[in-house]
Amino acid sequence: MFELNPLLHENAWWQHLIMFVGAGVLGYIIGYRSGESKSFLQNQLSNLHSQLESCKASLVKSTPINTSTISIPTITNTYNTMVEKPDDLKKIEGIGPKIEELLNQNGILTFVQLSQASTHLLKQVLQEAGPRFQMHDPSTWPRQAELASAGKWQELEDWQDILNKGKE
Amino acid sequence: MILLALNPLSKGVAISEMLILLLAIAFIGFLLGRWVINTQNVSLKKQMTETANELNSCQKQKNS
Repeated sequence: MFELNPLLHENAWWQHLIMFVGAGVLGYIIGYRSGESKSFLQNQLSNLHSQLESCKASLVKSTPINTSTISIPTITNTYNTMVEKPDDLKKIEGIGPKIEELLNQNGILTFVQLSQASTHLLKQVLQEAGPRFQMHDPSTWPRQAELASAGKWQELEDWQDILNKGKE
Repeated sequence: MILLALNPLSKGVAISEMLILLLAIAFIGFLLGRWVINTQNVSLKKQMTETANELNSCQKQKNS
């Protein structure tokens, strides 16, 4: 249908190819970017995930556990410790009284719970609490809490000497 | 264009032939880009619906 090379130039074919590929790529980029924003949906999905995580965390906190049905004594002991004795989370570098209160409100009462919490969830909790808390970086808190829950206080202190306000 | 009995050596015909081809290819690229992003978004929306359902049931459990 089209006579693209009427003068039969040797180099015409690759010049045409470059133009066609360029046009195709340009069209692809425009089409991809003109669609519904993917990052917006991803943000919404991550918000939903963090809401779900905090809902599950608060559910675990609020659900009464019938200890008589649990046959493994260590789990019962852990549960009793969690309910009766909240740990002093201020021993974690980067956590002050206000943040401790905030974490307690979100169902994180013990070192074990803090060590199991994801950094993403902790960041979400801090972000929701307002601009005063958003500057804090919780990335080391779960690992610090893990050492604390394992009773490795000396190791924790040594690490905290290296840390700067809980940051690596 | 040979089909329309146009002179391929004429400048106007050559430019319009090339433009038609480029626009057609760009349009195919555009459709391809839309299809790819829509497929990704459909999968994300599916995940969102599942997560929202899970969240609803969690909140119901929490309130009950």
